[in-house]
Amino acid sequence: MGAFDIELLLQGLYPTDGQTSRPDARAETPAVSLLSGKPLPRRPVPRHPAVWRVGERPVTPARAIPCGVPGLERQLPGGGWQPGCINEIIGHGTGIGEVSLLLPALASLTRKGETVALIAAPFTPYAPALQQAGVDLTHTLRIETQNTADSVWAAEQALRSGTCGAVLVWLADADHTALRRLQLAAEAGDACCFVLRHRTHAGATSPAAVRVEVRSDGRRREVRLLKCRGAQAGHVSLAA
Amino acid sequence: MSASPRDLHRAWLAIALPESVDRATRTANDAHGLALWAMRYSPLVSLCRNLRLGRYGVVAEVAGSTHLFGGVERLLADARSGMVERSPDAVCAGAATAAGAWALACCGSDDAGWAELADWPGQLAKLPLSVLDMPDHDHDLLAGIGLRTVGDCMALPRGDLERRCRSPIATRLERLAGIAPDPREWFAPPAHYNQTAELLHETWHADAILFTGRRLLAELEGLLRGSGRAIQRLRFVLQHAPGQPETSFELALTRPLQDLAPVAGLLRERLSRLRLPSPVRGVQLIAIPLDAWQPQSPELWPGPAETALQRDALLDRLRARLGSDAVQTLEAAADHRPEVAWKTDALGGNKPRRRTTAMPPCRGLRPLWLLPQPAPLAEIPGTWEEERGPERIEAGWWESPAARDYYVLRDAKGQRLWAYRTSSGHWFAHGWFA
Repeated sequence: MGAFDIELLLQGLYPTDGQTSRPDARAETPAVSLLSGKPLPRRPVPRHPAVWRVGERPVTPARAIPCGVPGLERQLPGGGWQPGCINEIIGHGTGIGEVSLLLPALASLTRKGETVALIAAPFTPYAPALQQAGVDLTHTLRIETQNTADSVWAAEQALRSGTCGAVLVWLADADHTALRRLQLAAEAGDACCFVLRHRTHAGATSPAAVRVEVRSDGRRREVRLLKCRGAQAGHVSLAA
Repeated sequence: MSASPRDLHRAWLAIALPESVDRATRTANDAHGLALWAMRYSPLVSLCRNLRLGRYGVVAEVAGSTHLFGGVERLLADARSGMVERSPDAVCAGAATAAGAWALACCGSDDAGWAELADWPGQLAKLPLSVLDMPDHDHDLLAGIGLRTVGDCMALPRGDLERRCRSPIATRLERLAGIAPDPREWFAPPAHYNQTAELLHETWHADAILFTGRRLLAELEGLLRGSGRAIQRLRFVLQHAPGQPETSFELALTRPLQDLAPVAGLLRERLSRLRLPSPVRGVQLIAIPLDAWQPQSPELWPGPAETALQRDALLDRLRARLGSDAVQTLEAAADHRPEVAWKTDALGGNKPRRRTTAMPPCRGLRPLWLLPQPAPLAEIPGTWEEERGPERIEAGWWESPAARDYYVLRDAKGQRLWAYRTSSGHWFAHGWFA
């Protein structure tokens, strides 16, 4: 019968390099087709620009917004946050320096004249503190919303408009669909979306390209890269 | 025929509203709105009517704007597609004379092309007698002697025709043919736009209100284009049953606009948020155009000007849905008291954006989050550690004197708090170092 073999499809679509480039850990147990129960022939992983393998050199993005945090800079591909995708920041508590990780990036964007929108921030973003961090306030927008749906809508509009360099949105409870919408909007407007979420979302799946978890023990800030497109996950310890 | 008026204005667009016998006054009102709408093609618009056919409409002199639209045929097609939403049964026609265009629109089918002066006599001859809009006596007389078309009339000797008819038929025929001058009274656009459109039936639906709102916006846009002005504030009034208070709201734009296409999107957002007390019967749009307006010339490559335009459009959209105070810029203010050292500026309609005050950044460490009100702390727990401080801030003797010692406190979980102690020894939390 004509069972549809997804691997055949992949092989037809993508050119392969002919051989596996690293030893496969599961080589002893041959893969079995779910449909027919027969063992599948071993095929190499497709070679495609969008496929990155652990062990390869990190993919350097065409451009990145300089992160400006010395330890974190080395971990992120290209040394910064990538425009056109979601970067998720998960903070364990308020006031542990979760937002200040982003301030150097915001400062460099606003100095270049790009607008930065702060949507549904939990407290008043304090203008003198932003100024101290080097953020140009004339290119900073504060947007207040009533509920999560409005926050997502506002973030989507700001990202899609193509006029914002970065959008910071605080989402208390946003589902996967909302994040996916933000991801598409960020791609459309080529803007950098920072989603700041509560620690309960650390285990959830997310379409974000970069997920960063920040916790503090009082002395040091532990910044863990839960996920990082095009590079290995890792962690950095910063001064509090 | 050497000093021919035909050389001055050689392209006329006519739009005839559908025939309406019992609602003559209403059609006259519609013609007023139509004239405003037609000003998008030319500032020279004239109201027309044909009582014999019961038709109202407008003619517009479009010779000056045919190039903008890419030719007369395209202009005619543009008018037709624009009229589909306003009045699908209206007829648009174009010809080289005003009377000719109006005659074609009154009796013609909608698919007629542009009548050029070269083949005009042939087309003119085929038009029925009723386009001449003669009083009953003349019409019956001419019809009685077996004349059916304009061509039949033109074949008659001019002197006899004038003597037998009471109305100046010969002049009308000459105007139709473009031989005699055709002076017209131009439509004078009102200084303020204030039009009401009734809905076909009472409705709760935002879509029906939006449809009517767009119709009014199209009229306003015509007025703005025709008079070279722009608009920054619009007031919509939704009318309910008689005796009930109206619902009204205002749309303020960040920059003056002449092209009102984005405003329809703003209206949709605003309507989707609106709570109606009762169904809507009519929509009124009131707008006062700005006189002093310099249009921005578009640029070849996307540059800062275009980005600023897109940014303002984004702000308009956000404010239409979230409320006019929801979008703010942040500013630092020259004051030592932390709660007064910042201010927000709601991006209002025509308020000029203020420059940030030249204030040297304060030397002390400032938190990223400021609490809306200083929160009293019963006591500082022993686990909190003074990381920095004290920083003495003593100011504001002229309104609210503050004498505080600020400390940066850190707890075992790494949270950093900005707190102060008053001179009386009470502790207050004032911010977080996020």
